[in-house]
Amino acid sequence: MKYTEDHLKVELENQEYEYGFTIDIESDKAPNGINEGIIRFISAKKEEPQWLLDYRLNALKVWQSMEEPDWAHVSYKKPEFQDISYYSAPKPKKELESLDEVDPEILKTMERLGISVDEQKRLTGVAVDFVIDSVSVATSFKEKLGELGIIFCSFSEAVKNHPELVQKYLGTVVPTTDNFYAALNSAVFTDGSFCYIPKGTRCPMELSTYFRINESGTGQFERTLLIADEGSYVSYLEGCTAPQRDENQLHAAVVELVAMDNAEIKYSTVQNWYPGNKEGIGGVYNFVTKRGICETNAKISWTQVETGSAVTWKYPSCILKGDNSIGEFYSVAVTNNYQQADTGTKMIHIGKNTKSTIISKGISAGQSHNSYRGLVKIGKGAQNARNFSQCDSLLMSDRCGAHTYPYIECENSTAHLEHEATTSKIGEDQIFYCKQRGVSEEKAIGLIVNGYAKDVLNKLPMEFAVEARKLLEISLENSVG
Amino acid sequence: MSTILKEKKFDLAVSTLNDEISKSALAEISNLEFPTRRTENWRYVKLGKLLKQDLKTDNVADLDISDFLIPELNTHVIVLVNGHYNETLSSSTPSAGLLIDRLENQKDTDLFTSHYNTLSEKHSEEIFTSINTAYNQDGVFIHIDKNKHIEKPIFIININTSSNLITNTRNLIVIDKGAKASIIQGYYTTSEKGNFNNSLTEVFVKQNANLSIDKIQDIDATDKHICTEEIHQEKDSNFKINTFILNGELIRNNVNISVDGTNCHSEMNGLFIGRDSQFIDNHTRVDHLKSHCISSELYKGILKDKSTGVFNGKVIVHQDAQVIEAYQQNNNVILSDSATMNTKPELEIFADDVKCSHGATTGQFDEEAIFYLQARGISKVRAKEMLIGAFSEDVLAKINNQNVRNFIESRI
Repeated sequence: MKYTEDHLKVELENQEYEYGFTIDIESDKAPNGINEGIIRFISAKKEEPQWLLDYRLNALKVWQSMEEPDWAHVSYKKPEFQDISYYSAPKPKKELESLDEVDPEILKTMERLGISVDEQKRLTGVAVDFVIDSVSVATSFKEKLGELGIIFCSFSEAVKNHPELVQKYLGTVVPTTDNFYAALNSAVFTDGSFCYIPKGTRCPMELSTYFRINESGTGQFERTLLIADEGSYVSYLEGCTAPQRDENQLHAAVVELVAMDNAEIKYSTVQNWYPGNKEGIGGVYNFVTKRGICETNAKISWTQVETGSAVTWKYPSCILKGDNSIGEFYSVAVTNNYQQADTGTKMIHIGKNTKSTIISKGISAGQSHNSYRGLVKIGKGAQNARNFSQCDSLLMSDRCGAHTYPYIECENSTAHLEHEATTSKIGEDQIFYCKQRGVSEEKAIGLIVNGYAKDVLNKLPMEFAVEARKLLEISLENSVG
Repeated sequence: MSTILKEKKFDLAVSTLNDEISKSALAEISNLEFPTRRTENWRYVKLGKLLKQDLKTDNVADLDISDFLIPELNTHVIVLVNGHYNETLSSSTPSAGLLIDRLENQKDTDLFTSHYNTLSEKHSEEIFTSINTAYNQDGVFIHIDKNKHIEKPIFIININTSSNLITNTRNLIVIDKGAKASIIQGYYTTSEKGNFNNSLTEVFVKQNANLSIDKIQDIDATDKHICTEEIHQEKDSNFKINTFILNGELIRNNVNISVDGTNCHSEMNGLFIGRDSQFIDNHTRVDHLKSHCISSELYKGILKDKSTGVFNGKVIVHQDAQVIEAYQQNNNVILSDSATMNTKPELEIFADDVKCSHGATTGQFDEEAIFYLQARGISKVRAKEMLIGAFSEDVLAKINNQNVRNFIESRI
């Protein structure tokens, strides 16, 4: 049968979310709503020190004075912040020593995701910090990392065991006042990951956290703080799949990276929250603030594959503060049906000889809208700064939209800035060229879409690339090939 | 009304062109906020100074305009002094199919009523557009009849002779089916200072018509100019606008083209040179409403001293506008550490069969190129001049008329 773009379109529309299922773990939930009492409840529940409670209360005040932003090219029903329960945790259990002690429900979930902890441990050498409903329940490879002095644990553990580090760096990259959702997160975050790489240490394995949203009506407010001390290196993976639901779930995470002198952080994300069904009902709201700060000679590299969420609002950014620092951003964003994504990056050049690269690939299908919004700012003192940006959009249907809003601000005469963007549909001539050489239309479309995203996929660490490809396949390629 | 504007007393009379339209524009203004740095469209503009000034209107009868004419170029000349149409200074040879008049005189004609404000009302949320609609005092009406080709360019000269002047010039240009014309717009100031011009031109390019506009902005270094062109293109039409910004304290250009017919060609080019603490802002917007059209855009900027440049290009391909090619290009050279360039080339695409691209670069002259020239005995200053010349060449080459080109080149 002749396979045309129309077929592809139909398949894309009809595609069901493959990873949709829920887990039934009794939760210990906070009443709906947000106020000072709730904040105190969360803080008390987590047995937090006074300074953290003060931090939260201050953030709440800031948040209450802010308005929800509406400049992004997305439209959605604004979440009712008083209808969300800001805390839910699996029943507190005693410290776990081995997998046997993990709730069998959770193990089952992991198996269905195809990432059984056991398998992960044995085969890939990836340490997995498993987050279910805001509280970490299993952390592996901790001992091995401990030998090198690497701290990789849940955020609440870090608050208990390393308060001085948390207190020193929390909110230094993303201040409470940064934006509406960052302020909300700062007030109500329940858990997340914390990572510290000591001076001169090269983390021997990819650190990975799998997130899942569970428990109906619970917003997930993750907080990640990653500190790479002088001369260290770490590759950090973050990935997520969420259960199918009809109700919109709010996800407002904050990720802060600190790369000290000569350090390098590679941060990769595969995002596959539930995107809603093909009528655009349900799906996750993903409003994330991610930012890293680079000291002298440091490097931060963001790689992301975004296939999920009903609404995405995400701009992983780099502040290139130190001289010779480097920032990179590689992104593939796929939107289908009624998904909306407004994503991009900010590269703030402050130090001399700073470099940044932005490669962003958007694919829109169905009735979705996919926007790139980025800022490249060269400060007055950023001598010889260099930026290259490329943002391409691929259109799969005549009802979808692809938009680019690049802001390029230059205040230095020695800077070199290049920006280019293209928007087009899959080229008829490209398909024709393939067909001429005996490649079927179906395969040709697969080949083109695949090749189009490869630039970015190749930047993912080996272990992760497999999963990323899998997700891309589910979103697009599988229906093509 | 925004409190800022309420407190500010402009010595302005409400436009008498169409009472209903003026009234609704006044109502619109009362709902609008004065733009600040937080207004997305005016993000980089510092308008505060404008409000501190006491502005007035003025009218002058006689003036020597020979300085502003383009040498060796025979044109129809229309002169507006301090925003007022000056019939004694204007001179146009009567030609078949060409109508040049004061806008006021045409206000009862069908041509006027069927066109006036139909384009700018779509952007009435822009406060300066509404101010112009409400308070415009004078302007030019040009109509080219069907299938008439007007060989001689039409030169509209706007001159400020007063100081602390406010003008709201309103022009209406209708190029009828199959007609062809070229227009040159010049904005100048004689010795006086501190003027604010807020001009708005509505342009209708009908089926199969052809229009090119060359705009020269060479006002005083203490003058401000907000200049809006609203263009409407029908099918098979060609439109081109070249903007040259040579001097002025604050210049903001809004070029809005709505391409409302198939098989149209639209072109926008611009060259700006910023020096001292000038502020130059170019906003363009192309709305592709119908299929099979091409639009291209080329803006180049050279920024010296403490000047600031802004380029904000927007291409919107609406749903059902298929087979569109839209290109945007913006190149800038920054020659001083205190100069700033802000670029924002935007694409909003709602159709799938499109080829759109934009490119933006900001940098400085290649040291090696300068060295190459110096090694051949050319002074550094001269070498830089040559490179500026080469950089400007692409935009200058877009000017159809050689005399106009020579004139602009001599002013750079």
